[in-house]
Amino acid sequence: MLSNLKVSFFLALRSLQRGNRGSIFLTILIIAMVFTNMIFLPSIVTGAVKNAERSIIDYSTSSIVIEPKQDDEYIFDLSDLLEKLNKVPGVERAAPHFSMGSMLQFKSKRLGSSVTAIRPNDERQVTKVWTRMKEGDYLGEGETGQVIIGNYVAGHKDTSEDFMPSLGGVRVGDSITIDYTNGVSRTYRVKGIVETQSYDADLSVYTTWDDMESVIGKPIDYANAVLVKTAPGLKESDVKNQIYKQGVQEQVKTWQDLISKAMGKAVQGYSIINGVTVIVSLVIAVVVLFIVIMIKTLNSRRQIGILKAVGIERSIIINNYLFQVIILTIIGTICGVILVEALISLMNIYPLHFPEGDIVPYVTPLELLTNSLYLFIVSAIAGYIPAWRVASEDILTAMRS
Amino acid sequence: MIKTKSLTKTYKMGKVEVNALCGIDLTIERGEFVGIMGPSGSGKSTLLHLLGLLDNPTSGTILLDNIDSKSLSDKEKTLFRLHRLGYVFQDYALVPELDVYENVSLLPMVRNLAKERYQKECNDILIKFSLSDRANHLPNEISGGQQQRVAIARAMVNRPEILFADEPCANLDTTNSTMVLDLCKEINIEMDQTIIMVSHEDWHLKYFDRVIHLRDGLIEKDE
Repeated sequence: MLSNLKVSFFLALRSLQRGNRGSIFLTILIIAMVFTNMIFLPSIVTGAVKNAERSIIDYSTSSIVIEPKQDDEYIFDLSDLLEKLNKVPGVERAAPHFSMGSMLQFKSKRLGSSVTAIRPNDERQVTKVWTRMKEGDYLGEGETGQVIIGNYVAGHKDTSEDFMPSLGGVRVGDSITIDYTNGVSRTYRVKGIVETQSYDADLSVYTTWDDMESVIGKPIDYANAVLVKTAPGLKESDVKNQIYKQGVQEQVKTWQDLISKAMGKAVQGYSIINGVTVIVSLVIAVVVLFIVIMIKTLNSRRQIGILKAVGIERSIIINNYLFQVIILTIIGTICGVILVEALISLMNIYPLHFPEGDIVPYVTPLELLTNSLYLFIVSAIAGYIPAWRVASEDILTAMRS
Repeated sequence: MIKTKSLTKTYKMGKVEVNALCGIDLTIERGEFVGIMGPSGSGKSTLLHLLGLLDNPTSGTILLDNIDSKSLSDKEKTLFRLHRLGYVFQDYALVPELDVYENVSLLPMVRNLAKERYQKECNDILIKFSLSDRANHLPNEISGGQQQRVAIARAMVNRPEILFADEPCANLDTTNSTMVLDLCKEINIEMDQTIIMVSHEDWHLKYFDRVIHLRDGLIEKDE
């Protein structure tokens, strides 16, 4: 068996070494392109999904969000909860959010929005909004009379450049008036404008907890949500369990829980696109390799007949073509991997610009391995069938062809 | 060594049945150099293919060293051909991607012989057939006569019990044909090699120990 495989491999190697260089080069090129096609588009789609996930974690939800109990509007006994949360193993920091509806006004422009009160020092440890200041600075702890606003809220002087209602070109240092739903009206200096390319953050208005307490007129020991940042390397679901073990009664949701609801269908749709791309690529690979090996074997029918006549077993002949396909697929896949990696490197330098953020392709070694394996399997089938058909022919029929 | 009894072969050409062999009885002894001759369509190649286990008879028996060909499975026939029979074809039938040495060493490699052993035997046979200086050439880089010598070397390196040659000189000029036939005769005498050769050239007669003349699928003359 092993010696037969050795002979098959020897024949395959010689056939490739001394066969038609042009057709071998073209076959390798096609396999490389098929592999690139299998990986590249799905990697862009996966990159977009990963970008959305990253954006949600960094600028919206952090690792875990604590929400009010089922029938409550707020999380009560906030200070106790924060103390409890900050002691949970795996929790780096918890930061509360309190939002109140309002009407913003800049010159003659009015815009309905909610204002979110944050504790800037805690917030810096939980989200990355502070790193994405387009203009001006982030809020400081205890500051009052200042807000930071999202890029979409600020808008442009030429409102045709905005793709949603805005304040029409607010800049750092401008004053805006905020009429809260509790009847309080305040004028704020815009301290900074945030541009995260996350709708959630870019449509927000942030003020400090102290400022909001002055609006409410009393200390605020309740919140709409508490964002929790977990330590790197830990599974959010494990930390979630730890939080529940500490007796937290509120709803605890990891970012995955939130995404599965918000993006589940979209991710499912992307998976279908990826699957279709992979299947189409594999079908192309099968057809191309089938044709290549079919032509090769048909051109060698007489030679195959003679090899059988002189006593070479059919399996040796079939495996010879199988090895040829495998060698071509290995080289083609290696070329494909190099091409994909080159494209990914290039796109890391020059990412695709989308409103949701810059998208870079995302490929894991496991995906490369899995797709290579798929390609090998279909290539082997595509090579085996024509080789088997011709090698199964009657000796004299093959010899007379 | 070879014995046939009432050997027939009928081909179907569409709805028409063609009787290529109509009952051949013959015996060939070890060491004989047998020529099979006859006009086109007389059944020469069909007989050679049946004796060489390349095709199955419609009826009758073929005994090779008392082994009935019918008792062999396809795989056993393949192994029988590999280990005990040798073939030379009209158009040399060399593997175009293998050089001369590789073509000659292919069958010993398939037989899984020790590399050192078959390397020596291949080199020896290439020297004997005056091909050693062409060992690294591809078939398309050498002449027709040299290619046919390579084909004979390929068949002989396996030390077959019977060498079948199907019009080996059909594509060669007289000089190269003489060279090939001289080589076959030399092998036949020196190695007591049984050779069965199909030919339609009368001047080949002098090389054969025995000539079987076929006509219309029957033995017309055996001399």
